[in-house]
Amino acid sequence: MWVSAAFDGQSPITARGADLVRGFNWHWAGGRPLLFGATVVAAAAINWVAGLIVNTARLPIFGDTIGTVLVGTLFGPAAGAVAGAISNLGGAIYNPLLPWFIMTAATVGFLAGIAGGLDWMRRPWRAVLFGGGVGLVSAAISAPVSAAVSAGATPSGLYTVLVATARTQGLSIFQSTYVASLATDPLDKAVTFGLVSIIVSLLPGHLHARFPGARAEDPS
Amino acid sequence: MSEARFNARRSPVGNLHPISKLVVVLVASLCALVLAPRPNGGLLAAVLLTAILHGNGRRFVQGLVAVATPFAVSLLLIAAADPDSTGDWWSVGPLGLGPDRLAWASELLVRVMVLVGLLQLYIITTPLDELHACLVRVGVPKPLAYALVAAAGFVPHLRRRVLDIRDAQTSRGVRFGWGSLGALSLVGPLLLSTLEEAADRETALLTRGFGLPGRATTLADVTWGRGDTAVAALAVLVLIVVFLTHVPG
Repeated sequence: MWVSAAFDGQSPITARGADLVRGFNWHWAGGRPLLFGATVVAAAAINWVAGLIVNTARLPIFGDTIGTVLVGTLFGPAAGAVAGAISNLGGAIYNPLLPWFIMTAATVGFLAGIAGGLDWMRRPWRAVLFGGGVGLVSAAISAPVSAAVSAGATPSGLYTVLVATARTQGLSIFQSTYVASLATDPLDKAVTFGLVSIIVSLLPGHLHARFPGARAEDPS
Repeated sequence: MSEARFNARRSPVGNLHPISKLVVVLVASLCALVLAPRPNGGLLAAVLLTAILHGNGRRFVQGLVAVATPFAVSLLLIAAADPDSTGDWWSVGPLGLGPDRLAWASELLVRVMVLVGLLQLYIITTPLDELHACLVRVGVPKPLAYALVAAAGFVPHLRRRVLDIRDAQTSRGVRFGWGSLGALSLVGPLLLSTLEEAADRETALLTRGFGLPGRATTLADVTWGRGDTAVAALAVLVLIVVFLTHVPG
């Protein structure tokens, strides 16, 4: 049966797809697919654990994109976007609402890759400023999703308090989630980009040599 | 956060192909969002019943409650701040509590529980090796399929490392607690040691032939059966009906 053959990888269509994948050009991941795969595994786990640490400490940030920003910085925009998407899909095991924010995570990873490509992640103050801008973009993308899926309710106490405060001023759920996202995301992303920038600049020599985006600038 | 893990017991749902189950989860999630609130009580009951039939009822409910409790508190606070609600039993300042607010919060809580429950059900009925095998078979590049399924197993390992780093930082005088910036002192060592491990994993994957060209073999036995076709076709039919009846224009 053709449906069965397609999902078992034996139909002409999936065979052609498999050929395309075999000839897949991994230049967008620095030409190192296995290092990229292994780093995405680590980055996704870092996102969830860092989010948990920050939540436990009741800090006014999320911290759940540190791994994604790191991959974007080290491998480039497309790799950052893929890492963000995979992190949010796989994160369903720990937070089943994460997959709904896949576009936000992919955008943050993509923009981190652009910052890395422009060499802005080597200077922490530039990274912080760029991170603040990324926060505005991610707020614009995540706020309507948050409003549609859970009416602005999240496990993060600060975000909920901001949504409730905006509601008491007569704003709608959509407007309130925008206010809460714009109040929290820029700070979160500025701290995240700043931290990743510092860490990338502190990478030991042998890791500098292995990760494509961490290689030192050519002095010439 | 709950960690609903795969239950090895075979059941009709567990025997379905990971992709046909994914289609059902996506369609049911869209229905929960578009058709709310009418079918959500029934959907939640169906999800619970399926988890019980799979032999994971108690653990499933515990996981669902763990995820839903912070959302319930959040929703109650947001409902209490609704400026348009009337007929409150109790109010203080701009906040109030009444039947309208409770009904709104309950409706949304059930929707969140359906969305969370559907994904948890997928996770407990789908072995990761089968998911990996079917992703590779349909053409997902091996490193990406590996990343998607291996990340979940990496978290417990990373949590242990966080505790080690925390102990080390505590011995240096760093304080941890509510609102303390000490938590940020964990991030640097955590990222650096994890990058080291990623580099080691690349070597391990290379030695296991992960980078070799050609069709990957797998020990997992995943086949698409007639039941999968029927379930996926039914889900697509439901999606079409919902789209035609509920999307304006």
